[in-house]
Amino acid sequence: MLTRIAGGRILDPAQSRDEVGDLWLQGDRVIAAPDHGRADETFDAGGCVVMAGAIDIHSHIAGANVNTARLLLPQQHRAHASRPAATPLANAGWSTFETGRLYAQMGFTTVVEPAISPHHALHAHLELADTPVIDKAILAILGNDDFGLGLMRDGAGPDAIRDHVAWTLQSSKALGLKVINAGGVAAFKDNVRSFGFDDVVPRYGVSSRQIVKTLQRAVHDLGVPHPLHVHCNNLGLPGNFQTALDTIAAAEGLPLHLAHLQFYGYGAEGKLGFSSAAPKLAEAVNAAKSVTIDVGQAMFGQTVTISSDVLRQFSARAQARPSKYVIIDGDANGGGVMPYNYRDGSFANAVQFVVGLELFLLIDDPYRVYFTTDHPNGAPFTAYPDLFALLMSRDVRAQWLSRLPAEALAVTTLASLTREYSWGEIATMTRAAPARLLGLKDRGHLGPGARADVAIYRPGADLAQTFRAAVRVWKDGECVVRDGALTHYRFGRALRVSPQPDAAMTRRVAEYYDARYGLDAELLSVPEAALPREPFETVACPR
Amino acid sequence: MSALTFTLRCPPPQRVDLCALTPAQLAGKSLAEIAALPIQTNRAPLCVGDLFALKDGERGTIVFEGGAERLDRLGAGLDTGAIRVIGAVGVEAGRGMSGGALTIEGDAGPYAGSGLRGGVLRIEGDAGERLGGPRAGETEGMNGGLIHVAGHAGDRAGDRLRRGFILIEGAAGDCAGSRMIAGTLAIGGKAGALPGYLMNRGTILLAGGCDEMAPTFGDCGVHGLTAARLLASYVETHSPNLAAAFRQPLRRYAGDLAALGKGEIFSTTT
Amino acid sequence: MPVGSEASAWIAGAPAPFDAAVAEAARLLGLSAAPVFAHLGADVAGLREAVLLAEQVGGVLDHADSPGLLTNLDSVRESGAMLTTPLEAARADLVLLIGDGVFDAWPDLTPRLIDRLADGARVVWLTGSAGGRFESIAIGTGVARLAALGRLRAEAKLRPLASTPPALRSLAQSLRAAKFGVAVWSGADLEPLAVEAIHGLVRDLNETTRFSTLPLASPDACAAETVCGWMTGFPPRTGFARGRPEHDPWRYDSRRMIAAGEADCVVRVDAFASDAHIAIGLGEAPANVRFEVGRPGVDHDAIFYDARVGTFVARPAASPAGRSVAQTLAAIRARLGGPPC
Repeated sequence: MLTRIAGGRILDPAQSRDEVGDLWLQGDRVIAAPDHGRADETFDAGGCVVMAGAIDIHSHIAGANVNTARLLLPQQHRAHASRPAATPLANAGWSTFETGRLYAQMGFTTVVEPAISPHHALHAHLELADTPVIDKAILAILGNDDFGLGLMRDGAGPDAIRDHVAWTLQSSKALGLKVINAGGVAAFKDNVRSFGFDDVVPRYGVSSRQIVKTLQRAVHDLGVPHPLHVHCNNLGLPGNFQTALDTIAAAEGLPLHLAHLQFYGYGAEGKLGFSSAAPKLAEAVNAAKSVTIDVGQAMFGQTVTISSDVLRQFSARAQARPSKYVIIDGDANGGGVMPYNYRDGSFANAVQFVVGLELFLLIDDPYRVYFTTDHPNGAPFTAYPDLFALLMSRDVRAQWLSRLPAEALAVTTLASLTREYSWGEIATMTRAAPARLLGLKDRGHLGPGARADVAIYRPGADLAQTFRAAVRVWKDGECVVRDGALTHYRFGRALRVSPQPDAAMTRRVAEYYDARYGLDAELLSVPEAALPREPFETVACPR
Repeated sequence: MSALTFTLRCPPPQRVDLCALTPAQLAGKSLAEIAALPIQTNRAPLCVGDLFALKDGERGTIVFEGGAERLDRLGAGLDTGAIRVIGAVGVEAGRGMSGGALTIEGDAGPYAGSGLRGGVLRIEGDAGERLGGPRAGETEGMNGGLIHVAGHAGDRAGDRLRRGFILIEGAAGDCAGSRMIAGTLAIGGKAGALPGYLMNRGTILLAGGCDEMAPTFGDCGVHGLTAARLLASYVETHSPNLAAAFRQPLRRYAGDLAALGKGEIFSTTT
Repeated sequence: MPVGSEASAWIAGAPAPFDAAVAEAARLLGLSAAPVFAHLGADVAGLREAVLLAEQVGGVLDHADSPGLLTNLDSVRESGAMLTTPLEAARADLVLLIGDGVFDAWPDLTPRLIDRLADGARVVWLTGSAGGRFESIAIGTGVARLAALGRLRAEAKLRPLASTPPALRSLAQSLRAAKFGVAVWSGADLEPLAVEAIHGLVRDLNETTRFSTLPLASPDACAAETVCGWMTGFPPRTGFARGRPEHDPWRYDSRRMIAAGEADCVVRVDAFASDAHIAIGLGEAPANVRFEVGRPGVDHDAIFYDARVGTFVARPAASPAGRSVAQTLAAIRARLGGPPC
């Protein structure tokens, strides 16, 4: 099957290409224009923008905590209108099937679920295998687990830590490693109620800083393309920008990714003791070239927060709306699920909204700032189109700001920022950059040999609508979205790295599981052939 | 002009969902359009006209002649106008009502008045379990308006009541007013065991005693309470009987001490 | 069960070729106005096909153990909860068992949890009536249990009540003094408001210390809850008759529906029975169509819920044999014209 996408504006920052021209797809790949090309199918993309499929590096779409949220909030997806069901379960609200459909319709073709406790990795992969169209990956969580903290307490060297990380990534079939409130969740098990970057975990005698530095080094040494993905301490608290600054400084030139930085962009200035510290954070990020961040933009409306930062979720329990929460003391990180309503009339929520936009607009390099709402914590991913519009148009921003409390704008700089993201910067932030960050060589660009994941948009006056409903989306060369609607299911694959676990570490882990749990460690591993419908695809570790 | 009337032709062959049949939703529809509205809840198609004979009339008032336990969600979402049912109804009668009046001249199934926010629901027969209570996953039950039951009510009447009045002339089942957040629940007959179990705030009147008081309510003695007299004047028009009970000397119990403990149960002393 | 030379499918009690039985099952489900999946005992792949088939035929999904499952879930989704896992619970210094049925719900409770507690950890069992194997306090059931749990919660809030039995008051003090306590019960065993009271008690305790809960339900009900959850957004007692999944624990109670004559075709999937099978029939009558199916993890590779870890595990088959639930239900759905999924 040879497909020609004719006459669109091909926007491919990874290849420095921005021109009107043709794009050719053959099978599941992009190919160079053939000499004697007679396309089986031609799509006239005149007036459209042609980009690689978008990549979301941080979106909580699957796993035990997400499913707990579904079950906790049946009323939030009860009133789903019946639509003609071209695809099974098309009418199911907040199902994995809906997740795949809605992402595909926005032109996203790869999504990373960023927080999976290794013991729940199989569950997460099962949900991802039921998420149609898109390719997926998980990040496995360490940094609050007894075995890993025990290694650090006992002074195990970098090799042992590295081997444990390798074992964990292999066992859970993950694309990278995440640390969530390093040590803070373990400390909460001993009833510690606040935990900062230099606080020490009871029983283990290691600080959060040591945990982050140790795991950062291990990920780097293994050659895992995606750097350690850090959810810092003190999420959501006034004055917490200092925690983020300390964590950025601790990167010390090695790659480090800070997740949903918006939630750490808070000063304690102003009458209400809550203000934007985004300019300070942006300055630090601009200076620390080895650091990448994603924003975790907050948008207004009802959502639910889903986090493995159990300490933070517990501490915030009084803010649940409606008033209920689930806190799970897990085998390691566990989870907290809490419905929350961001209101535009709320001073605090307005500051949060503004902090996110400030970070987007004040961080210079679109290769180091990633587009996320920390779905669904800042907002559901369905809010992305509105957010694109906010970044690309200061007029749209002005309209939104006019609804916000004046005292919230007073503690921020947003109104003075005139930057507008270009289409090219959007393409960089959502395609070229995440592919580079995750080590996905054949994604995020449209050069020959790239995977034929292509999204086409028709720019209109309503930018949000433009991004909400892609004109066409191809996944692996198969057209799956027409005029903003998914036509049929196909199933993608799960991306993972495959570092070889060291035999001695495998033995040591097995002994630990036997002694602590009386179980075979393999019982909680994800077998290679567990998911026949969705094979794993290995992403190379160059080192 | 008489009311728009739905006369039941036959026992319903399946449970039917009648939430579309409120004055606001039927305004401007022809009789033929109304007859064609789907009401099935299983795969066998069933329209209003299959189950009811229709007689047009004044659209602000709807009358159902004949009832059945399979008539679900009757008057759900009612916001204006009046619905009168001469017969029994199934689950969730008047669920989520925000105004108007729904009168059921017969028995109502479970969850009658679930999540009521306004208006008046009157049940002349008995009400099933969880009168006014929340459905799965909801954190609040009835949140305004008034429910009046002439007969008895099942277990957990007024579960998670947050605002408004529930007046039960007859007996109530176990755990009436369970998990109450606020609001007023008055029971004319005998209540079952543990009224007010886990209630945070709000007021329960027991005019006929109860099977067993929870140990987590503190006896505060007998009083003539101003607050109770105010409630009496409010419920007077709906229930002279319960109004009279509110005016009697009342024993006041504070609780539930297992929960927030700021609720109160008034019990007549005779 | 292994297929061998014996029949693996029956129509009206007589052995039938698999394809004929599939055709008959499809015919029955296609004609049915209100098909009900009254039990869903299957591995993940089987549950997935059951959900897809239920959608295809506009049916209702329920599980025989839904009452216990929903008793646990309702309190969580109406009021919230502190929860923990079977592995983490073993870290507890105080385990509070509630209800006589707790060991029935998890036969391995002793070896998997009690025996793995650290030295010095305390186990207290709030029984119905009998004295237990452990330090136990008989608090009765029903109304008596509700009253006792309310009393315990008030005492733990430091609100002493008249006539609280000394054992219960002392227990309240112990709960407050625990470093990490875990309450364990079976949803099938307790009144819904008892579960609500326990969660409230545990929320209160976490104001000053750490305490959590381990509500138990049958493993295959937990699996059904989880898989239905991600596929439809809802746990069982979810119906598709109107084209979209609708969750209603009262209307879609399969026992109630069958008793009230609201179900005209009943599907029972039980891959974990000793005679692993799928039965499709009318009401409570003997099955019109019956399929013998393989046992998950024995006759075919399978992923299922493991109570030891509180999540899914994979188990390859020792010696593959027979058709799985998933294969059988998928064949029926294909026969009905369901699109691939």
